[in-house]
Parts: sequence; structure tokens; C-alpha cells
Amino acid sequence: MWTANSLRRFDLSRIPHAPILLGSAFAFLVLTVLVSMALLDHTQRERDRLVQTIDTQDRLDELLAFMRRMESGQRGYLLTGDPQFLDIYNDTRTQVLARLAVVEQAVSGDASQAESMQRLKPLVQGKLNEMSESLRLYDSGQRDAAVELLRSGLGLRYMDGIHDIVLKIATDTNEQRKTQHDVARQQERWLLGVNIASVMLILILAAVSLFVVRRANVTMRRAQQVLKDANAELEANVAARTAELTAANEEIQKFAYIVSHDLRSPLVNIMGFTSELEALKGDLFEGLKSSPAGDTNGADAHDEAMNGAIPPARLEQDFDEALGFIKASITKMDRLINAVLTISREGSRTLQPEPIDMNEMFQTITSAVAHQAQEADAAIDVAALPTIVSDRLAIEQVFSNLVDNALKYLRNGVQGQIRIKARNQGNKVVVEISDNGRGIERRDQARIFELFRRAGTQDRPGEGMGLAHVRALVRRLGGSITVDSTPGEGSVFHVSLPRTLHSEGKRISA
Amino acid sequence: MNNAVTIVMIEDDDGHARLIEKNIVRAGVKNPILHFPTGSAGMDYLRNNQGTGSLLILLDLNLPDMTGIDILQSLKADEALKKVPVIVLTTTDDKREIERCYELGCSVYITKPVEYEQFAHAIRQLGLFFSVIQVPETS
Repeated sequence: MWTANSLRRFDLSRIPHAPILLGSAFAFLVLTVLVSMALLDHTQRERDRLVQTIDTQDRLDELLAFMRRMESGQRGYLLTGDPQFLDIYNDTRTQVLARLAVVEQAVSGDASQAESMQRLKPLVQGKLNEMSESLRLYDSGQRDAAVELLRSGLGLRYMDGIHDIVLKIATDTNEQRKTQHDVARQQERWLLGVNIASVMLILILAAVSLFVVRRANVTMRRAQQVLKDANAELEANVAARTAELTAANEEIQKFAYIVSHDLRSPLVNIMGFTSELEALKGDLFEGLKSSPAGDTNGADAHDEAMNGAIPPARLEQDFDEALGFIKASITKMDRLINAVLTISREGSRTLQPEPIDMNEMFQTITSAVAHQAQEADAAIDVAALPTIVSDRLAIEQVFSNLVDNALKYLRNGVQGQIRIKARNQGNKVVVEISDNGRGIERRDQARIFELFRRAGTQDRPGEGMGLAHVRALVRRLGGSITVDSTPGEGSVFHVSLPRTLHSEGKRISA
Repeated sequence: MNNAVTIVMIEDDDGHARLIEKNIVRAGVKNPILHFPTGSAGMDYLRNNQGTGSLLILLDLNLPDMTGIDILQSLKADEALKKVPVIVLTTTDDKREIERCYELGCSVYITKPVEYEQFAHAIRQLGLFFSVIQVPETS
């Protein structure tokens, strides 16, 4: 019963696509981690560029500052002739050249800045030339020419040009910084978004995993329960089957015991009376040979012979008695052997299940015993009975035996009342045959189903075969038979039969 | 054995009963032998004829109406009958059955041999045994 259905209950497909779900969630997680790593990298690079831009701006500012310092050094020298100013001029000139090289290097990556740089370079060079020219003139004693050069405003124009370009580059880098800053902000927002998404994904994943694990647990527990139930059922089934087999085994032993005992009994008689006949033969022939008086005759095993001759009438009586017992014993043995054969044949006959209307069947049985019932002054009352699927011949034998018994063991002087009814019990039908007959003592209630055993006063003919045969048939049909009885009040035989008897090939799989 | 002792034989097989009777008589035992073919008939007699003298019971175990074990049990449960010697004489040689009978208080357990010489011999031995044993009087 439990095998197919219960096994189907713990199918793993009840957790739908759990591995695919978990796998894709993990893939998403890995993806978000990769994306945020890429974003971080990008942001880092942007930041580096920003830092570099700021650095370039600083260098440019420095360049401008140094140029102004250089200019003031030049002018101071030209005004005072103090060589201290000339030192300042020379120092700052080196610095200016160094800054110019640094800035040129720094902006080489940016096209527009490089272009600005191209314009800046000649101006710086021009300014430097203007300053060194004025100093050369001053040193060669042409102070007026030097002042004149200053006055011409050439240096001023160079400085203005330089200032404009530096300012322009500053404005440009400012713009660039703003953009870079915006990009960085944007990327940070992206990074935040991606991180929030991945955190949420992790939470969802955790929730889904928890759910899947819990569901798997529930399924597993259910499966374990089913398995436990199945085991318990199996154990119960095994116990029941073992009990049945033990009972069947005991019955077989009892049957063998009864048969061997009951066959041995007549054998003892046959042997015994044959030997008695042998002894009688001696007496008989001695009697024929010699005169009745005086002689000691007969077999000495025979004590009667020692007391003298036996009258012929007595001899004849003994002879007939011995022969009678021998014949009766042989007949009895034959009957016993036939009974055993009948039961054994019944066990090997193929059952043919067919629908049986039990009402119809009991009508046939009651009309067959109508004469007997009338003689015994008994009424047979049959309630509405169901239709079952079973072997017709076996069922007929079972119930006609039971009805016969009910009629046979009624109480003298009491009107017989035999009732037949049925009730359902699961997939079985229990037919009850009750009578108000003499009843059966409690100690005999199991014994009456044994072969050659009878109960109560032995005033009815019978071999003690009927109920043994009935029980064997009922067992064969997959049923059981029990009796409830109160001596002096009546008996109820309960025959429990499967509603549907499966043909014998299929029985094993049930 | 005292002539007042009545042998009550409970034996369903008439042939066996006759053979036992013949061989007991041949052993020289002259006591009256009452034969009952069913357990209930034997028990009825034993219950209704108490105090009529000493008794000795020969009991077969395989009876159609009730088992010899049941008879033995009710005999030993009966105040008046429990002292009566019971000799179980049966075809059964099942060890458990033999043990059960001694447990319940049977005096002697004898298996009927199929071989008649042995059977006759056993019964005659039993007859000789009858001539020496002492049987209590039933109250």
C-alpha cells in the first residue's frame, strides 16, 4: 500500500529550479562586484587626473610668480646697480626655465593646453630675451639705451601676453576641473548605486536561500516522516505476516499430528485383531482336530485356551468381532485418507473469482435444507446481503456447511431460529450466522475447527471434518472465521471475506 | 488389586477398548472394567458415582468431544476425584504432551504401540502392575 504513493511524495522537484535560481543570483553578485571594482578604478584615475591638473596650475602660477620676481630683480638692478638684484634675477631665471619644462611635460597629454603652451613658450622666451638684452646694455655702460628698452613697453607687453595665457590656461583647467569633479561625483553616485544594488541583492539572495533551505528542510522532514511511517507500517506488516505464518505453521504441525494419530489408531486395531484372529485360528483348528474334553489345547498365549476348550459359539463370536473391527478400521482409515485428500485437493484447486449475489446463494442453500429445517422445527431468516466477488464453489461450501451445522446442533424442544446477516468492515464483508442451538463450551471453541474434532455430546452423526474444511476454504479465500458461543444459548459464526477476491496471480502484489 | 476397585476406561476407539480389556483380563485382573467412548460420558459417570468404591482411570488423550488434557485437569481440580490414579494410555508420543500430563498429575503415561505383540505385552504388564498397586478409596 505504502510503496508507490509515499515514495512519490518526497520528490525533489518540489523545490522548483533552486539550483538555477541560486546560481544566477551568485552570478549577479559577482557582476556587481566586478562593476564596482571597475568604477572604483575609473574614479581613481579621474582623481589622479584632477590632482595632476591642479599640480599643473600650481606650476604655472609658480612660473608667473618667478617671472615677476625675475622682472623685479632686473628692474632693481637697472635702478640701483646693486649686484644683489642681479643674483635674484639669475636665480629666478633658472627656476623659470625649470618650471617651463615641467609644465610643458605635464600638459603634453592635453591638446588645447599644449597649444596654449606653444603660444606661451615664445612669449616667455621673448620676455627672457628682453630682460637679458636690457641687462647687457646696462652692463656695457649704455644705461639710457637699457632704460629706453624698458620704456618701450616691450617687456610689459610680453608679460601681459604671458599673464593672459596663464589666465586662460587657469580658466580652462578650472573648467576641466569642474567637469572632472562632476564626472567623479557622477561615478561616485554610480558606485553608491551599484553598491546599494549589490547589498539588496545579497539580502534578497539571503532571503531566497533561507526560504529554499527552509522549504528543503520541511520537505526533508516530511520525507523522513513518510519514511518513518512506511517503516512502522512495514514492521507492522512483517509482524502480522509473521504471526500469520506462525499460526499457519502451528496449524500444519497440528494437522500432521492429528492425521498421524488418527491414522495410527485404526492401524493398532487392524494389527491387534489380526493377531487375535491368528490366535483364534489355533484354537479353531485344535478344536476341530481333537475331542472337546481332556486335551490341553490352544496357543498358550491365549489364557482362555488354558482353561480348556472354548465353545464353538464363543469362538465364532470372537472371530466375527475381530473381523468386524478389522473391516471397520479399514473403512475408517479410508475415510480419513479421503478427508485429507479432499482438503488437500481444495488447496490446489484454482479459484475463479466471479460476482456472487449472496441473497440468491442463500436462497439456494435454504431451499436445499428446507426439509431438514421443517423436521427440526427451525426458521431460517436471511437479511439483505451484499454481492461479493469470490469463488462460487468455495463460498457455497462454506455457507451450506455452516447452515447445516446450525440445523444439526439445535436444542431439543426449542424452536430453532437461524439468522444470517452481513456487515461491512473496511474492504471486507463479515457474514454472521447465528443460531439458538446448544452452543459450544469456551474450551472447545478453537478445537472445533481442527480436523476430526467435535464438541459436546456426540449424539449427531459426523466425522469432525466440516468446520476444518470450512476454515481451510475461508483461509484460501483470504478471509477468517471465528465463533462466539454461550453453551445452552446458541452460537454465532463470523465469516470475514474480502469484498473482492483477486485471482491468484495478482494476490502476491497486493 | 482389591476387587472393589473399578477400572474406568475412557477410550473413543471401540477396537482399542476391546483389545485393552482382553489383555487386562488375560493378565489375571478380574476387576470390573467400565468403558466410556466419550469424555463427557466418562466424566458424567465419575461425577455421579462418587463414594461407590475405589477407582482407577485409564484415559485416552485424543477424544472427539474433549481432550484428555481437559479431563485430567477437571479430575485433578475435583476434591473427590483428585486422588484417583490416572493412567494415560494413548497413541500420542509427543514429548510436550507427555510432560503436560505429568505436570497435571497423571500417575503413568503409556504410548500404545502399533505392533500388537508389544501392545499386548504392555497391557499385560499394566495388568500385573494393577495387581500390586494400592489405590486410595474415594470418599
